[in-house]
Amino acid sequence: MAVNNKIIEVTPTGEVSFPNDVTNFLQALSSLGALSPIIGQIIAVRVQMKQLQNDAEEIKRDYEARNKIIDGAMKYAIQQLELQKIGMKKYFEYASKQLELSRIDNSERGRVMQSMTRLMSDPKASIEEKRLAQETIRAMSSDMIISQETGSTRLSALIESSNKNLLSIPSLAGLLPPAKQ
Amino acid sequence: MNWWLIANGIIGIADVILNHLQATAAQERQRWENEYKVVETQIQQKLQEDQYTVDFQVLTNLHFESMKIAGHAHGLLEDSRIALKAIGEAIVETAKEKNRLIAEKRSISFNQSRANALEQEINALIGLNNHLIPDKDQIKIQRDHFESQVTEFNSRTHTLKLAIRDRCGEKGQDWYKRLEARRSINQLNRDRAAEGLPLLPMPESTKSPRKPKQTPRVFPKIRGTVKWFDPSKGFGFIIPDDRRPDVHVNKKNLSGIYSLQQDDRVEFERMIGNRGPWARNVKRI
Repeated sequence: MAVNNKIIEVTPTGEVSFPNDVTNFLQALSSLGALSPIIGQIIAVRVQMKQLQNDAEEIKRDYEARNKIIDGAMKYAIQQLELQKIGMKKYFEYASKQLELSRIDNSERGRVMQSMTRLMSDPKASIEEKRLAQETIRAMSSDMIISQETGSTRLSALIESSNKNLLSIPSLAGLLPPAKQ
Repeated sequence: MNWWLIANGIIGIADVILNHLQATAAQERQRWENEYKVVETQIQQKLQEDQYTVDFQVLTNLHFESMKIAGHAHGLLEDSRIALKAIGEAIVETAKEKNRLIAEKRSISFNQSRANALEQEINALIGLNNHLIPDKDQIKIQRDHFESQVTEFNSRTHTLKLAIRDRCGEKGQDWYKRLEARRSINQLNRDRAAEGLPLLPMPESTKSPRKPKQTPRVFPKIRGTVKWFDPSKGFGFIIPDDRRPDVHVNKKNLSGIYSLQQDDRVEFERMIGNRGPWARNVKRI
């Protein structure tokens, strides 16, 4: 059974560390300031979780290929995956608390995406770092859409309130049509 | 004959009196009509001023709201542009990297393990671009929406600005002049900031006139005599010296004393509540 290299070590208690050198990746995140280590860890945990899914699927395929026999090695691999899953869950609980009060705006996301785009084609970057860069681009792109949608909802609420004020004053009839939301 | 002369005389006198009265009445009527016209003009002016004030308040509030919305939409529009630029660059670079890896894979086809690793990387890049392209389309839709909102609310703000100038009398014209002056200075400051020059201060004349501070309302002190006061219930009544109706007094409104007795002389402020007059700040004198 081939198991991918670990991007990040996660203990069952939720402590994380990078087993390989990811300096280039952390450097590319540096525009986020104090938030950069935690964002880097979250991205790495996400990549690791995807890897876990792949590994789990591989174990499943192995299990079926061996006529549904679970041997010692397979049992150990399943236990390890389970432990990592628990550790990652704990880490995400901790990370979401850390990020609760923080806000990253789209200009910061844009800067990070540009750094990550450069990292993706940087010959000095390791394969792990490139994978982390790709995941960061993916995450930042999705976050940008969410942020725009949230802003759009707030904009609609402002327009609705303004339209109500406008319609409540008969003397202004004809001056302005209600705005479209 | 004499009677006839007397009767004619009386009629003549009556006629003169009547004419005089009619003239006086006409004059009086004219005076009254003139006064009425003056008062009516004053009322119309007052109504017009009130209408101007109401319109001014409503329109300036709407103008402020409209500016706020335009500003918010503009911020979102800028965000969309940043997002589009970043995603666009990522798509281009991902495609370039993918092409580079494809070329590398072709050149090392004899090394199977390296070829497999490259294949994985290529697939990851294809996956990334498949994720980014719909994101870019989504952001484009959002950008177009915000762009139309910015245009609409800038136009609305402009219409409101002109309406304030033209529909709210002197107050509106004054507001418009101050706004335009501020706008010119802000424009100058933007140019100066771009050139690295120090910014010009905003002159006092461009700021809204400050409302005078409201002086706290002072209630006249009234004197009176306690009619009765029940310490266990904590209330009673005072007969005011100005012979107006009795005033209710509650112990929580006693000032510097804990209770009252019948016939005590007191000084207090008379307030009018839903249940009638009541005393505040009651002091024994």
